[in-house]
Parts: sequence; C-alpha cells; structure tokens
Amino acid sequence: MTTNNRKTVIEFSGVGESYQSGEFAIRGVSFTVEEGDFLFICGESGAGKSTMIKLMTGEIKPTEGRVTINGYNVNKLKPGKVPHLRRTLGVVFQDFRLIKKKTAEENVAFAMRVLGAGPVQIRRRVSYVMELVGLKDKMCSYPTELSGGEQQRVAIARALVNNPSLIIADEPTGNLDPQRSYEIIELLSKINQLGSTVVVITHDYELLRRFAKRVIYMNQGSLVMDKVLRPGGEEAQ
Amino acid sequence: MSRMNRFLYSLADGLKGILRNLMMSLMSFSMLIGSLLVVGSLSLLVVNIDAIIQDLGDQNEIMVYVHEEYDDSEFNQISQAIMEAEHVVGFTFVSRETALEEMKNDLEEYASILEGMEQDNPLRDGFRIQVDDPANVEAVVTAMEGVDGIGNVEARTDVVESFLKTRNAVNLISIGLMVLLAGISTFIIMNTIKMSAYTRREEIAIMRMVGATKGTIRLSFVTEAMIICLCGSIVSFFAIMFLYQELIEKAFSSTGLLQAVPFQEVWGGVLLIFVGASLVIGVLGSLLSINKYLKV
Ligand SMILES: Nc1ncnc2c1ncn2[C@@H]1O[C@H](COP(=O)(O)OP(=O)(O)OP(=O)(O)O)[C@@H](O)[C@H]1O
Ligand SMILES: [Mg+2]
Repeated sequence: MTTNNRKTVIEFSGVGESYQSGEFAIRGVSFTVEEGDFLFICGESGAGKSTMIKLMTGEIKPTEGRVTINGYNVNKLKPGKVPHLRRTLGVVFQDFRLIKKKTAEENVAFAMRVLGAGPVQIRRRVSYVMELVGLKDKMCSYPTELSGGEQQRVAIARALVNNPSLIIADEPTGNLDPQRSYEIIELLSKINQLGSTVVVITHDYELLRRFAKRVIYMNQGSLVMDKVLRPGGEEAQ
Repeated sequence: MSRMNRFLYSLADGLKGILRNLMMSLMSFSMLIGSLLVVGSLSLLVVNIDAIIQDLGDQNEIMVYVHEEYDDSEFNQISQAIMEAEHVVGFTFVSRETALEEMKNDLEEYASILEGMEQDNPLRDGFRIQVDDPANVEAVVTAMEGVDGIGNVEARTDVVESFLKTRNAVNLISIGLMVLLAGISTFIIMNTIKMSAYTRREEIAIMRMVGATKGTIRLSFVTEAMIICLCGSIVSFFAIMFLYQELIEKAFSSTGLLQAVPFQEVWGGVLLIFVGASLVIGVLGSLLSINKYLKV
C-alpha cells in the first residue's frame, strides 16, 4: 500500500496457531504494521484476535509461519528473552488489570519500578503520563474510586510509562459505555500521533466508522479483510 | 544503579509481604527458631561431650604388663608387637621401680601403706601405650591381649566408651532431628511464600507483562523468605546464648568437677550454622514455591 522507509514493527507471515487441541485458532494470517501506524483488529468472538495478541507478546509461539515484533523473532525467542520483547510493548486489557491495593500513581509507577528505575525518574515520568491521559488530579485515587473509563486511562498510562514503541490493546473499550469508549480510542489516537504504533482490538463497528483507520477483519481464524476506512465508514480505495 | 534500586524495592516488597501475611510469617519465624534451638542445643551437647572425652585424654593410654620373668628376646618381641600394632601412636617402657614411684606420687596420703614395698615390689615391668583415638582403645587392648609375654592389659575403656556411646547417640539424634526439622521448616516457609505469591499473583502477572525478568520476580520472594529466616536465626542465636550461659555453664560449674565449653569459644560456629542453615532453608523454600507463578 505504501512504499517508504519506515521500520516494520509487526510482521505476521502465514501464521497459524493450534494450541493443544490441534484445531487452528488462526491460520494463514499475514500482515505487517509499520512504525507510527494505527491498526484496528476486529471480528466475531472466537475469531482469533486475542490469539494474535498472545503471539505478539511472546506468550505463545506460532505453530506455523513466522511472527516478528520490534525486530524480535517470536518463533525463536528464548524464554529468557521474552522480557526483553515485552519491554518494547505496552499492553492494555479489557479488564484493566490494576492492582486494587495501589493508587493510580502507584499502579503506573509499579511498571517502572519492576524494571529497576530510580525514584526520581519514576516520579517525573509518572507525572508526565498521568497528565497525558488526563488523570493528573486522580493520582492518589484507588482503582475502586475510579470510573471504568478512568481505570482504563490508568492502565494506558501504565502501558506508556516505560516508553514502548508499540501499544497493544485487547478490547480496551469492552467494559465501557459509548462515550467513554470514544474517549479511550481518542486517547490512543493521540498517543499514536505522538509517535507510538498502536494496535487496538475491538468489537465496536461504530468506533471503526468514527475513527476511520486501517482495519483488519478476522473471521473464524482467517484474515478476510485488511483496508483503510474513510471517515463515514466507507473504504478508502 | 538499577540493580541497587531493584534490591531496595525487593527489600521493601519483602517487608510488605511479611506484614500482609503476618500470621504465616510469624509461624515460619517461630518454627525456624524452634528448630534452630533444638538442633543448636544438641550440637552444643555434642561439643561438650567431646570436650569431656578430650579431657579424659589420658584415657587413650593403655598399660600392658609383661610376665614377671622375661629375657631380652621376649622383650624385643613385645616391643616389636606394640610398635606394629594399629592405632598405636607411641609407647614408653615403664620399669617396675618407676611404676612404684608414680604410684607413691599419686597416692601421697597412703604413702605409709606403700612403705617397704621397694624391697618386695609387687609391680611388674610394663609399657605405657598411647592410642590415636579413644574409640580405638578397645581394639588395641584386644590386640595386646593376644601378644605372647604380655600378662595383663589395663585400660579404663568403660568410661570413655560410655561417653562415646552417648556422644554417638546424641549425634545420631541430632542429625535425624536436623533433617526432620529442616524439612518441616522448609515446608512451612514454602507455604508462607506460596501464600504470599498467591496474594500477589496479579502483581506477578503485571510484572511479567511489563517485562520483568523471572530473576527480578523471584528476588522479591526470596528476599521475603530471607528476611524471615535471617531474623529467626539471629533471635535464635541470642536465645541460645542466653540459655547456654545461664543454664548450661552454671549447671556444669555447680558440679565443681566439670567446666562447660565457654560460649565465647563456640559462638562463631553457632552463628555461622544458624545463619547458613536458615538462609539455605529460606532460599530453597521460596524458590521451590514460586516457580509455578513464573510461567511465561
Ligand atoms: N489457551 C487456549 N487453549 C485452547 N484453545 C484456545 C485457547 N485460547 C483460545 N483458544 C481457542 O482459540 C480460538 C480463538 O480464541 P481467541 O481468544 O483468540 O478469540 P477472540 O477473537 O479473542 O475472541 P473474543 O472476541 O471472544 O475475545 C477459540 O476457538 C478459542 O476457543
Ligand atoms: Mg479476545
């Protein structure tokens, strides 16, 4: 589609994944994502979207084909190197996965802390990302004191805090109402404009129409469509 | 820098983990102290029995007496047999005159009884034999009894033997208990850390997600176990020091006969064993229990 010199961030080529059962969750999936791209992955439940995320984070290895993420060949990634891959990623989930006993600030700081960052550096960076997600005034709130949308913003701040080049969100709006969903995608879109590559899984066709980005459509484990939408929901070319 | 941060963070997390899991932590802590005290007391008992056996050092001497009448060649044969016997580290000839002198010195109060014995010395010539270890006295005695020309063999093996028997029994018991208690302590530490890992399973999942290495994740749990174990070993050390000085040393000296090995002579070993054993237990227990939470 485009021919330029941007780095390839995600490369799936002929990827199949069969778990233990022998039945393929996805098969023959090929696509690439370049630095600075924004990509939606959509499809019915069980289509294999989360399986694609697990392949990207090195949680599972492809049964067939080849997966390369940020230059890491997932097929050949040794268990000891998986953490290295993950440090280049920021992952966001539908259920937020915040630690309930920690405040918003502590939740975000935790991601830096476990990688050994110093307190001063942590304070500076956490304050910056909390500002970015618009929660500067909720730093000291516990997850139970935050709305779903706010919790997801904290999760996004945590995904961003170690400055990864690729943000992956698995149905980040699944638990949110339409307005909150819109705001979350808008935030991810803003983060994309600041330079990060962003991949978002969603069920929500309304969001696809409103944001008009590149969409990969999965159906029963196969990639059946990969195109850029025009505002209003029509396909570009 | 980052290494230092990680260490300090794991220290803080370890302390937090202990507080969050206070009941289990206290249980591990007391179990460890109990085990160390039992094993420590038994070891100190062994040390003291050994010291007593050492004090009875001349007990690894044997006196052998030759027949009243003997010639030079018989004498040479006997010396040869002693020299060649196993476990013999030295021997000296003791003439009947010397033996009588020694006896007089030993029994000063009864000197009068021994008066006039020079004329009719009832003692015989003999050899004083040094054996390498009290445990081998018995064997040497048997060997000497078989030598031609030797009439009588004397050794106070009974005393030494009973001490040795006691020591070996205590040793056996303490080794058995050590294994048992180390097993129980490790098991309890394992459960404590398992519990802690379970309460923190979400944290662990997030750590893995953001790319913390298994080593980093392990470190915080190993640190938690080590804090418990180090504290336990230090408390045990001071407890056993107090008990030993107040009870054992005083009990020994009240007999007027025996002196307990002073604590100053053994404290280094005790501390080393306590700290070493508890660290092994802590590291082992935590590593064994955390693995299941570390799957990629
Ligand atoms: N750990 C697993 N072991 C075996 N089969 C699995 C496993 N995870 C997923 N699957 C199967 O793989 C297929 C794809 O699952 P996946 O979770 O990728 O779907 P999805 O598109 O994310 O669905 P949803 O929209 O409901 O989240 C499903 O048929 C599912 O049953
Ligand atoms: Mg899914």
